Amino acid sequence: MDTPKVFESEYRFCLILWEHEPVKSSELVRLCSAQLGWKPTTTYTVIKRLAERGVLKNENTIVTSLVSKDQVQAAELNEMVERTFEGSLPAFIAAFAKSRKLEKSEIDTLQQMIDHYRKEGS
Amino acid sequence: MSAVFLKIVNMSISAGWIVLAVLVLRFLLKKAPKWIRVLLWGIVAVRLICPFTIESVLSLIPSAETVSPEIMMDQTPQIHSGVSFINNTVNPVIESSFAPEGLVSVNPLQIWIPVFAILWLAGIAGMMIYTAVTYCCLKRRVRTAVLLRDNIFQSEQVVSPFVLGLIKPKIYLPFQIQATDMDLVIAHEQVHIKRLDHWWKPVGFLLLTLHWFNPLMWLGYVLLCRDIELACDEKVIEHLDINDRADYSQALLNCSVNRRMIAACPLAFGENSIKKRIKSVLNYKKPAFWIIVIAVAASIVTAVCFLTNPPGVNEELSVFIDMQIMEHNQGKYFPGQFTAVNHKILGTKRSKGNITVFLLARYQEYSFENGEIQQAGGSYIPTAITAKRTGKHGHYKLVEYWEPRDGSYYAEDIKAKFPWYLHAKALDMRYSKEQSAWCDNAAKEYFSDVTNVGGADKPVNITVKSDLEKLKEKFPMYFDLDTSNGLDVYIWQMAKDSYSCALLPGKTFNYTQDELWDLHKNAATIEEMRTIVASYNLSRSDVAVIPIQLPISSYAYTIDDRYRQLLTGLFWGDYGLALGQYHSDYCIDEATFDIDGDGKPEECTLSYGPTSGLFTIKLSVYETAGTGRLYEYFNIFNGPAGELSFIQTDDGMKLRLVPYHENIHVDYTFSIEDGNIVLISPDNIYVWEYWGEQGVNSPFSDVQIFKALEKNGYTSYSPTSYIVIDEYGTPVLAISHPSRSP
Repeated sequence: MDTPKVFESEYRFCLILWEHEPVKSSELVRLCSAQLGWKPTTTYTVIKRLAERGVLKNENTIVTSLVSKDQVQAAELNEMVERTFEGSLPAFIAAFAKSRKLEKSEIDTLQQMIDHYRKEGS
Repeated sequence: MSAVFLKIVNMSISAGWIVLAVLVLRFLLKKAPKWIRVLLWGIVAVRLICPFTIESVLSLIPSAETVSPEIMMDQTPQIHSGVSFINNTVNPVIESSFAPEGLVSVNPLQIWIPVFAILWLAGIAGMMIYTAVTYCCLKRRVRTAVLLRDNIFQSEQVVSPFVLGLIKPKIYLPFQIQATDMDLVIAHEQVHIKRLDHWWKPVGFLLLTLHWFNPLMWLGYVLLCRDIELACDEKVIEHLDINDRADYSQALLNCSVNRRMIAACPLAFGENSIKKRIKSVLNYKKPAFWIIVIAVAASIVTAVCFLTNPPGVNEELSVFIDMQIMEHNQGKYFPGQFTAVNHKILGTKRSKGNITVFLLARYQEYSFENGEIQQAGGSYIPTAITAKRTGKHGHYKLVEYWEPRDGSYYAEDIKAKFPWYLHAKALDMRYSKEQSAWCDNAAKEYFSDVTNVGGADKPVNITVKSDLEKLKEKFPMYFDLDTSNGLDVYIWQMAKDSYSCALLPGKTFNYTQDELWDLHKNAATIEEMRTIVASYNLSRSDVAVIPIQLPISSYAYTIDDRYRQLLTGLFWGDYGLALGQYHSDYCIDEATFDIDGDGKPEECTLSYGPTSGLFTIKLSVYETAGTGRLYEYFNIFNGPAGELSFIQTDDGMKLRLVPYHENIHVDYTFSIEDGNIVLISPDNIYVWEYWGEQGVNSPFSDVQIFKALEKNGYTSYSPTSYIVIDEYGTPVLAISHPSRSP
């Protein structure tokens, strides 16, 4: 069976779960608020999402995990989220803001500039 | 709502000028600290927010009111941008697209401007919805962000660090970030928070939503965001050594490589021209103190120059103008007990230390008797007053008090003196009602004060009677007449310079002898009758001037075409005719010659055309008396102004024109085509211009009139007069060529 994918923030949540399970969802809310800074609604949403994904199960408000720490670590999601943001600024504003990615050549040039600068100083 | 929109437009245009100035200053103050730039944008913001401002001669704003709030009411809408080049480019376009056609139709801007206002609101709504949506989406994305410490969070949803939140701002970082970078990034974002940048940017964006239609505002906002970032960078690296600065640049570079996310609200570290920022950081040198001083000074100067408005007409000048109008008119009229002066400024022009004010001047004298306020003498004239400021505080000296000449020179003079964009307002006496009302109120107030009226007659019911009301009381029978057939003005002469008038509904010919003779019982002067007729607002062709001879008058005169022309001109006050001059003046010239080559001579008369304003002349040709026919030809010419006469040349009879103020003369040849007289100029160009309907069947031709008279029972006529014969065959009435439309 494929280990379900877990985002980094969800991973931090799972760490709390593994440490305290089996745990009441309301207790989870308290723990997440203290350690992660999450609002209660956020915690419940994440519980629901992870339940759908098969990472945990929530029975009669008791939450237990379905996958282990080792399993998740192996399938760690490394990729950066690159979804286009709904409602990003229109293209011309983006153009003004010079939001385009730097070309490799430009990156190199700038890196050189920084290195040169460092040398000059020391 | 349109008024609010126009005010915003004017504020936007004023702010636009500042943006341009700030662009120049940014360039000049390159070496100054970057926070100066943000300060300059602050000045723009103040201009955009604050609808009020003070006036100062130091103001560099070309015009505080480019779009007049009354532009929708203007007959000739235009903008006053303060820059002639812009005015001259834009106004013709506006005129051709938006000027109302004719004097009756609605100014199209009355429809368009509200439409624009609605579009503007829609734009604002759109931008606000967009902002709200993006904000909510972003908040949602980072709700699973994990607390690092204090107010700093991390999330896999974050690609490039930013600050989010107005009251309790939170810093969001990506998970994948190097330790060295992290500290610097956090420092940067904390500077943003400390400087309240997380408020300034949204405020700037809010202003942008109000002024979304102005492209300069978008430019300003984008540059503002950039400058905020640069200023923030500067603050962070201020006290860092070279290595740390290199680290900072590295952090910028690292963060930029991965980022793609842009958001409307939050401040994003790593956004906005990374190259420029890195270069800025590497090249940073603490600016010398004196540079900061200069930059601050420049900002203050900018603020003064651009946050103030150019001066309009100040209080002192306004009072001075009133005084001048008063002095100029005093003594012209029979003195009243109270004088009111009111002026409405249309525009100003400054040159060589003088200021010329173009205005509409209302001068009115009032008297008070028997509890009633009467209007005495007064005037309402477009005036141009040129004044010079004297050294003494706030005092002015009169340089010129200009008024247009009377009669046909009136319009010419105004057009020559007043700037073209004020012509319409000056010529149609735009504000006459409100100015008269103001004066009447001033008189009411004055006479309400018992001390001003000597205490004897306590005013019970104060009304101000205008001329028209007085006439209504004097001649009630001449008001509210049926004008479905126009009006007939009967004029008779009592003595050499004494004329009397009566008024009847148009074309009422079925009156008895007694009724005719009774006309003299309600005799009005020409001036009185003119005012009465004017109140009907008919066009001139609907009003017939009919000279008659009443038995009560012993003064003998001949009623002929010439006389009728004379009286018509006299009644309308046209062509500067003065009493007593007309017998030789009004009919321009006449000659008897064969105009159409039929071998028989015709009587040809040259007289003024049926309108004034245009220089039209009428050429009537009729067979000599006795044949029973009236007109053979009748045509109207709209030609150049000048002196006209028939002249016999070797080439036959010609029409000579000597244009006014010139020493040349042009001789036109007569020709007949299709029953119309045609004038041919020496270079063989036809002069006849189609004006209304030409020819003997023209509504302006007397032929039509006589046909109508015939239908109504007049039994015989001759070319020079139309005589009514009673049942005994005795002529009882002579009407000479009344002119009217059928």
